[in-house]
Amino acid sequence: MTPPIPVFTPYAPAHGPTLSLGMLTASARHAAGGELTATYSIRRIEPWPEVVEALATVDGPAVVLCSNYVWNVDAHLEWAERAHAVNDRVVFVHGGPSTPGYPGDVERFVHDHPDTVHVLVHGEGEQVLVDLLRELAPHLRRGDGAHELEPLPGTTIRTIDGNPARGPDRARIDDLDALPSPYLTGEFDHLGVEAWRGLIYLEATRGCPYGCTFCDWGSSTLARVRKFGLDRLEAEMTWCASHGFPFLAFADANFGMTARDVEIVERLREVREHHGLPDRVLIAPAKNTTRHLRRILDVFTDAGLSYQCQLGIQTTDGGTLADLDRKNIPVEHFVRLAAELRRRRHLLECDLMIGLPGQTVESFRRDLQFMIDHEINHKTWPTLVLPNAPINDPDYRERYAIEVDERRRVVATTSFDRADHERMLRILRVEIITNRLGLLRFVLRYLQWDHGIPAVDVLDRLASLTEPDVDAYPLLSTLLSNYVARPVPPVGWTAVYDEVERFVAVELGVPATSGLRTVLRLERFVRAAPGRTFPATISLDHDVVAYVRGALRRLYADGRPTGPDRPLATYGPGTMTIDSDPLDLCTKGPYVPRLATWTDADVTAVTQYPHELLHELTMTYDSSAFSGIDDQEERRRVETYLADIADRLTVEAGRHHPELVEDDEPRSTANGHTVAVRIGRSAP
Amino acid sequence: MAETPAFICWHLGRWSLTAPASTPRPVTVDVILDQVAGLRTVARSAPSVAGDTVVASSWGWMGRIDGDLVAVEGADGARRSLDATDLAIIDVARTPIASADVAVTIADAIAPGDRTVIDEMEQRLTDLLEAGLLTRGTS
Repeated sequence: MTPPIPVFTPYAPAHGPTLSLGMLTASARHAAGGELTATYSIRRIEPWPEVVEALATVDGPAVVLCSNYVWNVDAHLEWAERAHAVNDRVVFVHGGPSTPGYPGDVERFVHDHPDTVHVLVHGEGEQVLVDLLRELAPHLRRGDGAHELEPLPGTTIRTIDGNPARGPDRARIDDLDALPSPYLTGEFDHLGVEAWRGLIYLEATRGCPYGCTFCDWGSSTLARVRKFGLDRLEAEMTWCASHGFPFLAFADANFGMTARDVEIVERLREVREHHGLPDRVLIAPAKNTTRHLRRILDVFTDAGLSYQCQLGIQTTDGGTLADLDRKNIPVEHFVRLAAELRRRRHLLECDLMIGLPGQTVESFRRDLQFMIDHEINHKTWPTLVLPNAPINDPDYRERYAIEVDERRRVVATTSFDRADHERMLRILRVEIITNRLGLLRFVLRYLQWDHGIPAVDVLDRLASLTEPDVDAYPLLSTLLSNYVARPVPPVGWTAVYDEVERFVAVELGVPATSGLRTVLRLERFVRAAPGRTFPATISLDHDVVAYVRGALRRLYADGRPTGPDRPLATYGPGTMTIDSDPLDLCTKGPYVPRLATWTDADVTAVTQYPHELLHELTMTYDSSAFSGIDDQEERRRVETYLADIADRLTVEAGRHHPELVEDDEPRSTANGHTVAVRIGRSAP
Repeated sequence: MAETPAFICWHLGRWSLTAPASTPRPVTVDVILDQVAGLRTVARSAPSVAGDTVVASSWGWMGRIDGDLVAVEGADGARRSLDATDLAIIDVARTPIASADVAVTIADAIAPGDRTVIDEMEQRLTDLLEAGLLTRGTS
């Protein structure tokens, strides 16, 4: 009897398994009543080292399926070379969002990897794979590879002469429930929570109706949104909870787009009530409607679920959005939503992007200023030219004169050159350190509110410190260039803020009045340093707490930033108390993980790490997610750290500005503490 | 930009040298001690810490090489000066150590045969504890 041909579905150890791999193996295993299992031995998904080891013992053909994403395609290609070295009869099939689809890219991909790229699958892979394996079997039995195949719909085949031959496009999968669930058919039963690093994905829908040019979501799934059944989803959520997964993510492009998503999270709440899990949930909310988002977040809160909800604004600039073929929710709508979520104690985070076609330094400055004005925590991501995104269309690239670096990050377009891009990055880094990590948070606001100097102007000036300035401001310069890697002040915080006072006077023309000195003393007071003890109280010449709260009052009412009604210097004396150091920043130090560089996570992800002591004006940080960390040991450290932080911070989330909203019944948080969540009333 | 390291950084048990507008360069303690070899010794007058006190280095600080001393602020915000012996103590105390053992451990490395270094060790430890550069640990 002829032995079955093994089919391997590997994942890179550094990246872990993905839902897509299980979707493929489940489809192949169960297609037509298991027809393919007579020919093939379809193995459960497994890490690459095990695949290579097994391939070395296979005396005959084999198939390896690579599901390529931006973060793992290089690893797949590297491991595939090792696999080819131990078995030269392997047929490598590549699919996923980072498998090239544009002409030219396909040719390069095939030509650059002659031994490890035999078949490319474009678009959804499950049904293509079934057809492919069916057609491929006789060729493999004869000892041929895939090169004699007629290209099937949705595939490209490497022909005998080494060139690609592409089949016609393939229609989307209409009935998603026809695809077997990998969770419910045992595809993942052999993997523990550790293999997934605790985070597991579900799909409630596929497709995205938008065609934002930087994104491959709409194009790769052919736009129209299709749904998996609710009962199936509930069963999958139950599987995840009963198998001990604490962190569940929905891989939907627009979660909350329809009322059905409210029902999904209601069912998730029931799952959590029965199984005690998950603890955390991640969604990517809908881009131009927030109709259901409030209810969804309420359910999360009521269920005691920590959540991460990042609204992908990308930019507030209308011209840039037009260049991206993108329609956001109107800014006014977004501002009102922010106010409502703020009153309801929900965290609101936004994504910005840097390097967008149509973007300029000025529009990026406006985006940063918007986020600062509205007190919205944001992350800024680099624009990548993803292989199957419209931005990679040769016509689009030519129209916008898009230039990329070695990591496919956009570094120049018709609207900004490389020098502009560098300048935006410098401004961003300064913004992260001074605003999000908070080292000049009160100084920036004071200068803007009382002296009319927009915060982004101060950031820009700091970002453009040049060599002569380095001599003039050695501590500031050292702080800005070192803080992310070594979060300690040069000499000490008193010396740093003395230098800030001089910088403000000389560069911005603001004298050291009692108002400025008050905020500088406050900045010094709220910094973590070894040896400090709490509670600690400082007496200030002016009541900064009342001043800041007054300035932010409208953000709780209608979302509009107005600033304070009078200058800080007109406020009488006040005090500020630091209650505690819940994150042990003074005894352990702020933690900044080492980050990989496949995106600019080194620029962005630090914003996810809380660097604050606990006081009346503490900002609440999301701490439930991280990205860009390839090193396994480092990831484990970060996971432990973040789990600890999440546990400690949940109770404190939204404790600020309690006078601005009405009392409501207390709700329990995920960590079992109880906080008074207050809903409703507009600001007085 | 400035090429000469202007700052000494201790962060999470590791040393680095850096300068304005530069990124930190990880170095060993030997490089650090070479860097400060010419600095003058800082005399101490604080009361002695008990010999069985366990001390451990704090998580981080950055001092500026300022003339013939290393300038750094203590937890109280006051400016202090460190010398090579202080830096050697901080390095040794990366793992908690009884104060009585500190002098024995570092004496040969810093000042072979110099009894004054050892005699004032417990005063130094008091200074460093007050500055927050050392913490009271458990062995």
